[in-house]
Amino acid sequence: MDASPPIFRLPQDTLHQIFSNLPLRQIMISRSVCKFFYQILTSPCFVDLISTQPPLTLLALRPPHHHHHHHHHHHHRHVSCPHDLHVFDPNHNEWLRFTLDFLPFRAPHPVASSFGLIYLWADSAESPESNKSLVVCNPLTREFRVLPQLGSAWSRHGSVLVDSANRVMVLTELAALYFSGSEQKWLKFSSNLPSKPRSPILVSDSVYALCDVGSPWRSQWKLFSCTISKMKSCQSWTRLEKHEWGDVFDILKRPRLVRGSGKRILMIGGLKSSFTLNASCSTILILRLDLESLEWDEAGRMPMEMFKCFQESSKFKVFGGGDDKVFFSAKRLSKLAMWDRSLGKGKEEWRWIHDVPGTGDGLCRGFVLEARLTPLLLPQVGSVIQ
Amino acid sequence: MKFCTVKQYFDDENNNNVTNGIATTVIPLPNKHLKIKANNKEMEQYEQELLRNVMPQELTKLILAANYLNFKEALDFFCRTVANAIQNKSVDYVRKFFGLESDFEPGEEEKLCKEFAWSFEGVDED
Repeated sequence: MDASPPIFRLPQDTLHQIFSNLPLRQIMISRSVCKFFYQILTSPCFVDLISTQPPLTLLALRPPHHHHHHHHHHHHRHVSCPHDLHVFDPNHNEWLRFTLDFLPFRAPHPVASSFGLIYLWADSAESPESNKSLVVCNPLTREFRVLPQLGSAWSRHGSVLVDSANRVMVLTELAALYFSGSEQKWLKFSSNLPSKPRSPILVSDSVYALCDVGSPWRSQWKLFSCTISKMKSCQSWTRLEKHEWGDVFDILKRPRLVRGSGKRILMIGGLKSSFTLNASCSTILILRLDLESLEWDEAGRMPMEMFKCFQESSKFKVFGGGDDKVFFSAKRLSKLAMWDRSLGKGKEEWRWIHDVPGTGDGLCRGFVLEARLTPLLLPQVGSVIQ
Repeated sequence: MKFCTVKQYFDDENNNNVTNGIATTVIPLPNKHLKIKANNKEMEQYEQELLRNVMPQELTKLILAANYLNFKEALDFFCRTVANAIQNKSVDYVRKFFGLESDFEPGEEEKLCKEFAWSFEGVDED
């Protein structure tokens, strides 16, 4: 009988090879086996080795009640800890909970994610309540970093956009803030948008958003884009349109944008049954714009049986994207609808997602989270690595 | 060339009972691999057989042998076999599989479980 288990005699490379065949969940489980496994599976070269593998793509829910300046002691039906991030795994059809208890903030509010890192608004500990900071963290490695402080106006009205190069933008109608790792401060740029940007998204090096150029009684949506490198000078947004597009923006009620796969944008909204002012909608339509050819086509439409649930509520939210999965939530609807085209052309699927956790009136929003062991670069004094 | 290293390996190991087993498994492997390279189903069946007939400790030694012999295909195959054997299994199962014991301090393991609770949901206890 051997004195010690043979696994200890394997060279580290081989051990890494064994575990690199396993999904992320099993790797995390194996870390708890013993100290030896913990060391191997947290070593930087292992993390590096598995960083090129496809991530665990999940949908994270944004918590409701963003403007929580006073504590509301409501008794909700489901008591959900403010430090829990509810995520949905579409491949296994189950809800998971990531804990954010390593963050020393009262009520962190996650808003966006890229490459495994989550960006969230949090109250700065030292300064008055009205100041918020954007914090970047990885719930899997439990590392976090606080970005330089911003005024509360940005957290209330700004949309946060991030990309895999960890460039962060906070966008409002009048200006954009921009932060990249190289300069450790926010740069501010004036924006020349005609109105408040709606559902801004980041696709490779450009930001795309819808703006209403119509009148107060009749909306007219148009698509605007801006290259990040051009951001550094004013007057940087340009209107994207082609004559062939015709009235593509007029057939949808309250359209919004979601990232498509590759270099594509999805535009989603209720399909108007006529061009009259308050026309009802016959279903929810998903249009797709190829950014290279600048051509639109129809990507999908919600089946009637599903749309009936959305028809009753006046508003619905759309979120997701990236790998061709889009999610829909509506007021007083306790389930989410999911459109999935990741299986390929012609094989799109619509299905319900049940047991949506958390409190709220059903109208929730979320973002795509690629669970990875991405390390946070340049830890600052004050960040805690547990 | 391979036979020289094999002989050296067995001499170094100095454990005849075990090495006989390994010799019969590892050495025929290249032939088998070549023959059924295109046939994934047979490879799967072979993997199942291996898991049934060979104890985890032996499997680990097979990996050591393949590594020593610099036999990449066998190494890849055995590593994948081990990975498949512990896929979706609980911490205790993985421990038993490799013959390990927890050497964490009393609170440490609990802390890890709490921090990564999401990964423990829905695994096979077996």
